[in-house]
Amino acid sequence: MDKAAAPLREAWYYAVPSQKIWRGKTLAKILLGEPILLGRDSEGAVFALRDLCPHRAMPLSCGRFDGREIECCYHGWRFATSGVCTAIPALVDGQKINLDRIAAQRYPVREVSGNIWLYFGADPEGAAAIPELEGFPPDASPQVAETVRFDAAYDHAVIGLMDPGHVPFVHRSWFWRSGRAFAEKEKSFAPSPWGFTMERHATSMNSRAYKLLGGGPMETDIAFTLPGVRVEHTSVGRHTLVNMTAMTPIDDQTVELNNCIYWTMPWLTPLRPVLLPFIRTFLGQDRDALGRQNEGLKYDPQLMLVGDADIQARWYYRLKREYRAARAENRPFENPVKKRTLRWRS
Amino acid sequence: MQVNERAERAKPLREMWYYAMPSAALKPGALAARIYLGEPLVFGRDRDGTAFALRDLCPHRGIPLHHGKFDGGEIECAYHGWRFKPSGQCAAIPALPESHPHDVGRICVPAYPVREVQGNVWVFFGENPEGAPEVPLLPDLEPERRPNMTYAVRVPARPDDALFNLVDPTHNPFIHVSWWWRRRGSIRAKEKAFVPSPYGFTMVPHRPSTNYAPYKLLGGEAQTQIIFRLPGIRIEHMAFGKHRLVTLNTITPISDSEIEESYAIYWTNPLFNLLKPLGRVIVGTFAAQDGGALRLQADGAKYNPSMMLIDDADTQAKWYYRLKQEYARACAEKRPFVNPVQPRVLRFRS
Repeated sequence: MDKAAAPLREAWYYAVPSQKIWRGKTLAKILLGEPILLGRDSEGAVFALRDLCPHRAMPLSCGRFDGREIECCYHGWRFATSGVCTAIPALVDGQKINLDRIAAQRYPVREVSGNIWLYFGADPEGAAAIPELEGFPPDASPQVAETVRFDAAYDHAVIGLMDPGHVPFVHRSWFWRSGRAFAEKEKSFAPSPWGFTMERHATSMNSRAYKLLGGGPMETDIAFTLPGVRVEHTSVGRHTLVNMTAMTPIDDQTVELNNCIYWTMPWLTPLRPVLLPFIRTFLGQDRDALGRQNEGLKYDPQLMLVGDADIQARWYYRLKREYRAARAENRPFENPVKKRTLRWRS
Repeated sequence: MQVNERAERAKPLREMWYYAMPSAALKPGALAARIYLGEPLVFGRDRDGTAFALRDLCPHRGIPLHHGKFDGGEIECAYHGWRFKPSGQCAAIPALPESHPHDVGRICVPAYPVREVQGNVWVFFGENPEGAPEVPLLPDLEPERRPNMTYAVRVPARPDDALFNLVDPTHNPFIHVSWWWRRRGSIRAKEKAFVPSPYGFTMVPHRPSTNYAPYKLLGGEAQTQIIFRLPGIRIEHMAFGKHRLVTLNTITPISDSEIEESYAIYWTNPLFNLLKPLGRVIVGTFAAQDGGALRLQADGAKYNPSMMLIDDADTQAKWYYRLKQEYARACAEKRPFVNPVQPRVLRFRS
């Protein structure tokens, strides 16, 4: 993979929904091509380590976790959740090894709004922030958390996230929109931290599912933030619905999409079982389209970005380039996006 | 030989028409995806019945066009609904608003020249289809004739290995053995005269060997002529009295380790129609026997061994190599092709 296409390292990536990791449990996962052991200690704090014992590279996930320390299954080396080695059972009295100097690599972890995020670079403090969800406290949990895997290179999956042109063709189904419901759209965009935002506007009414939400004027804004997070914020009267989609590279050819939906309307919660199949169909349509695109990309064709519909994709490439350069040169990030109105049909 | 030079020589010829599929496989308004010479192609037939082939990738985001919809007029890409004419020219980009005119006609999917001859679709790889050898017209058959039977099989073989097999007379006694064709051990000395013919060579008309049982049953004065022609075309023409049985047998490379072998068979004797189910079994058995041998050979070829070509049994394979090299050179040097084959009688046991 060429350097431009490689995922940014100095960035927070969505790892798993909080509810996937119970107290005293661990979960092994490959992210950005690296084996990761995620876990939650008996106090409830989340941690992440490289899932390889520094001794003989046995995955630590094959060992045991007592809520405090991980014991490697091979020689019983023990590690604190900080990654530091606490015991090597094979050592006899008098054999002095400074265990503090042995450690499994630790990854910075943050838990925000019911999700666990991981950092892969060297300087998490200077990085693009994990998006805040307006209208929901940091300890809120999503009412819906769906995970889908795509056979796709990261950039293509992210571009699909903010690509208005594919909607009428890929997301064609009776409950969402029919094939003929085409309308000219005009949306104003502005730079926002580490990305851009489609500014607040009255929601377009050709998406039938939205009509069902009812209850007063409906307004939406959509923010994109590096490395690949989209937050759609909709207010209906006094209620709020936030739809967050975060993309995480698993390896060069696989991407995981996590879709978290939060709402304040109490009447919507019992409808969850009804909503889920629709959400899964929708995400499955994206998965199928990206999988097919991946067949074509094997031939390494030249691609095109055409018209206003593809401007957001252009912005993504520029944002990524500038972010990488700024971090490499140790200078502040300068958002390359300018305020602009985009017009397209979808 | 240098490894690079070997790889270069093994590449399929460009500036050539390759067999794609029987015309009947391409229904009006349908799309058919294929990979030939390592390139993804989508074949289609428009409302007027004209066949076409495009690179099977949308120029926008690279998704294969065959996943889209074809109404017999335009292909609509599955991803963003871009529409393309059979010429490859873009006809519409739905996401563009009317207020933003864009010259979509300047966007093109590369189109491959396509020709339909005697019920088969051929596709051209190269720059100059007019200067290349024409799609061969099968002898003794009207131009509008369609094959009475077709058969195609994909084999995991290097293209040149499959080509060698196509012009190799001496694997017959070992590979094509069956009670109804020839017995194991039935091997005898043969003497066949060859002459150069356009872009290849021809085994001049002769009476078929008497160790092929079915020929005895066909009756009449029998004569066989076998024409080989670049890039990988073998035409077997048989005459039984006033009747003809013509077989077009082609190899089209899919990748450097896979080929598609196709058969199109034509006959003039209506009695043969009754035997069609049997014919399918016979051709299928032949193709499977060749495929089996090529598969085994591919296991050995993984070790990249050097190969041997002996006289006279393998002379046709040598000719093939020379023809291929001469054609590649003539194209590179932009000069006329000179057939390197001389008239010659080959003697071998088979």
